[in-house]
Amino acid sequence: MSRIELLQGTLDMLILNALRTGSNHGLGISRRINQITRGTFDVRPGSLYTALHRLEEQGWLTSEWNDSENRRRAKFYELTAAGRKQLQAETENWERISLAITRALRAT
Amino acid sequence: MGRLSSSFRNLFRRAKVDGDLEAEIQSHRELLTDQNIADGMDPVTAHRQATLEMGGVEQVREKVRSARAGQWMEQLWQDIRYALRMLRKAPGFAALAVITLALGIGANTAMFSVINGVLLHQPAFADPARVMVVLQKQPNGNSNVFSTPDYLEWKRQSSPVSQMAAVVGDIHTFGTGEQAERISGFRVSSEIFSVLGISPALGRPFTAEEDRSGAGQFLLLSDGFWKKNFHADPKILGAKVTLDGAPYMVIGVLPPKVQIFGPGESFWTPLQLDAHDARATARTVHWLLPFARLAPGSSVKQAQSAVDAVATRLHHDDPNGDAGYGVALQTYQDFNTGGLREPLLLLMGCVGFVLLIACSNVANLLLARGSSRRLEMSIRTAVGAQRSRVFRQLLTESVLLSLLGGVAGLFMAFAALRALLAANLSSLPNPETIQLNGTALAFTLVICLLVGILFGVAPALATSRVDVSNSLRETSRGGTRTGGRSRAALVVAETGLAFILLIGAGLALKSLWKVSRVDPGFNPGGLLTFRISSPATFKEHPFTFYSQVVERVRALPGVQSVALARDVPLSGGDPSMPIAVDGGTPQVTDGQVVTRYRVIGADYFRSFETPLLRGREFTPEDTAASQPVAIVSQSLAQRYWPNQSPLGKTLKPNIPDASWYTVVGVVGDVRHQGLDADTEPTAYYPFTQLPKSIEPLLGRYGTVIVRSNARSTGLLDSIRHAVSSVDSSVPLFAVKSMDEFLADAGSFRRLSVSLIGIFAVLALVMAGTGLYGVMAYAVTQRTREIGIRMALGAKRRDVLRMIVGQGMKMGAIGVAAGIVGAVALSRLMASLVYQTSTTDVGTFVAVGLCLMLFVLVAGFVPSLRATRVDPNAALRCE
Repeated sequence: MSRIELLQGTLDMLILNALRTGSNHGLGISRRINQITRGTFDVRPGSLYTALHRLEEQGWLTSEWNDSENRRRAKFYELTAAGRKQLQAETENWERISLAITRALRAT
Repeated sequence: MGRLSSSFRNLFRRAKVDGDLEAEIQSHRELLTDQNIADGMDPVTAHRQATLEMGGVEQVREKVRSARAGQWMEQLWQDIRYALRMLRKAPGFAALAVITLALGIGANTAMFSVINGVLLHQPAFADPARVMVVLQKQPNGNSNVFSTPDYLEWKRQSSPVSQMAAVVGDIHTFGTGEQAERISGFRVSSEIFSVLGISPALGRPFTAEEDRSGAGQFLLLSDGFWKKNFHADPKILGAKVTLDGAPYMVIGVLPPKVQIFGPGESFWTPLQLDAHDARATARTVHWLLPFARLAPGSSVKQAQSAVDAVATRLHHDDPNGDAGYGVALQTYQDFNTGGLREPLLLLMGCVGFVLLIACSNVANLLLARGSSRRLEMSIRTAVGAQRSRVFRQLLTESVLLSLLGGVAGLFMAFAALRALLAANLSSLPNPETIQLNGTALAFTLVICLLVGILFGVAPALATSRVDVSNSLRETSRGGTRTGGRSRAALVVAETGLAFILLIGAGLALKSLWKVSRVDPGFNPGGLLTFRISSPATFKEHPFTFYSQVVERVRALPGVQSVALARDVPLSGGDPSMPIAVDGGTPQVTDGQVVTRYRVIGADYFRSFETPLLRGREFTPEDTAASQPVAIVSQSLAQRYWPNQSPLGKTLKPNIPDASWYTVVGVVGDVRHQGLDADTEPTAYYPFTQLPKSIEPLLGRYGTVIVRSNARSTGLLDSIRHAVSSVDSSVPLFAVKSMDEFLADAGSFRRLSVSLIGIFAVLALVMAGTGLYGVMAYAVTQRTREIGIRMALGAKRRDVLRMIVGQGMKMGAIGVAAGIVGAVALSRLMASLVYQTSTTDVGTFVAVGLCLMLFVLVAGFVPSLRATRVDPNAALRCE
């Protein structure tokens, strides 16, 4: 599986997106990103938890210890209202940029 | 939660936050293991696979931690605590490093405080950098103060500077009877307020009308004088104060700190140029010091070239006039600190060198410690510390060391400054401005940080660059030679710097010795001098009063001889002017040395024990009615009458109403301006035959010289009694022995010599210990090698020669570098030397030998230890 280095902002966006459908723990988020991107992005725990803690400090996520599906204790992350707003803003921004870049690449 | 509050949470509830992270990572691994089992792995493989995929729990934790908000603060605090712990665990190292740094930083702080107080001190004027002192260039190239006509001429021409004002020092007797005291101050022209950009704190300045002759007696008091004598009473305005028996109206009080040149100035009175006073008319009497303010937008350079252009025009208009010789503009600051700037900067350079040596010594210590901390660093890296983090930790340690050194250095600087000020340096203009103030503290802090980084970076880079698996495997066996080369380079640099400092000290010492052997031209022992000022009752004939005092003093028991003069050697003040000889006109050609004009009485040379080479000295028979006579110095006689007897020749000073004086005696040269200054051709005239026009100027005070064999305390009392028996209102002032004059004249040189000496010894000791450290370390590192050599049959002598030779090689390279440095810096050292070449071969050889001897000893001790190595033990330590 080829691994692509993620820009910091991109990882944040992917994490926020992975949590759109509901709360999840670190491993779950990592798996989900892997799934959504069809294996393009494999987020390592070091980067993952760094990003999760940063997003929490920024107030876009909240966390809570809970039982997981197989009754393991795990820390679950959930989007806050501010997080949803941020995700929307970032998504719009990303779409603008990717459209612009795609156009630019086609134009040459 | 905001980022800031997160910072606080992270900082103060670190244990909880860390525990939480730990649990989270743990749970991640368990979930991963569960999944692996669900995918069909056996539990053991599942666990290992999970661990592998996670990439090291510690690394994950460290990565998340270092990204947290407020992390740098936490890490800094952590680093500081860790550094303190490390230092506490190595007290010997810590003490040595802190003391070394304290010496270096303390010396710099003290020296900077002096420079800050003297060279960087800003006078309390508005925009002080634009205040200029104006000096007149003389035909002989020297500069002088102005005569009245020249001042007025230049004032008319003053377009390059926006305004000009003149000042002249003055003294008055304040109070009466027993309480009478001499106070000094300035006569100033009314423009001085706008030139300096000041106004009185209380009352008002002089008006231009009040600055005219005959306008009345007005007085401005200095803040200090007002507080001391009038208890800061504002009602003093409009009151009359008696100076020299005459009433002066107080019209204002100057702001604190406003002074023309130094502390202790008591008053300003209007200049009031008098048309009938010789000072107002004579071109030859130079007495006014003009101040000027640069015109807006004009630089010193521009103003100087503008006044040069004016000078050219004036010279063209009147080729014989003095005004055409031009003027030199100097900033007030440069004028006030002239002669101090270069020696002080040189001393600052010296302490800079000491600090560099201290830095390289500590860097050496750190490098040596670094190699023994390799294992510690490897472990830290292995458990997840990033290299930058280890580097930061090491740098924190070195900055902490330098800060500790700085704190200790502040105490040293404080003590050093107290000792310096206790030496009561008459050569420093404003000693009270020398203090450990905020600027000095800021300087010290900056120096500490710079120094901490300077000596810390290289060792930190070297130490943090660890190859984990290699050093772990190597354990503490040592054997790595990394850093050896850089340590040797540091020692070479130290030796070179120490050499330069020792050269400076050597040259300064040799100059001091030369100065101490200079013959002042008189015998200072047993000579007491004091000044008196004639009271108003003797206004027209001040010297009559002085000679009456001399007669009374002569009658006192224990007095061997008494003489009168206007000024004594080393006290300055006497005017200088061209002279005419043998019926000619005064020579004012370029390069001509102007003759010093001294006024004395009978018995002067006998009292000073100055050799009378030909003829006679003045006697009481030389009166206003007898033939005018003069005595000349040997150098004047040689200049005007080479190979002839000057006796019977005639000379005339350049004063309008002077007569021709017949030379009746020749005396030896006297060092009037200081032992290390050139002698000047000097003509002596009896006070009884002064030209009338100059008598009020030169008669403002007289100096009485007493040679006695009595203890001066008892003598002084009887002298006071004798003076008050002539006039009880006249106080004695400037009571000083000639020995004290000599000591004061040499005080700055002695101080700089002892300071440079102290710095050089410090440098030598530091360089020596540095070399010793490197040699000792090298010997330890090479124990195995030495053991093998000796096992193979090398003699102790060979080993000794090898190790000592290595030290001597470093020393020799250092000395060579030092010679280059010292020669390159010889121009700077010129301000230090007297009749000694800055590349004095004797000094260079002596210093080189001394330093090499030191190197030899520093290298010898560790090599002795090396030769005691038991080959078996050395090889076994594998």
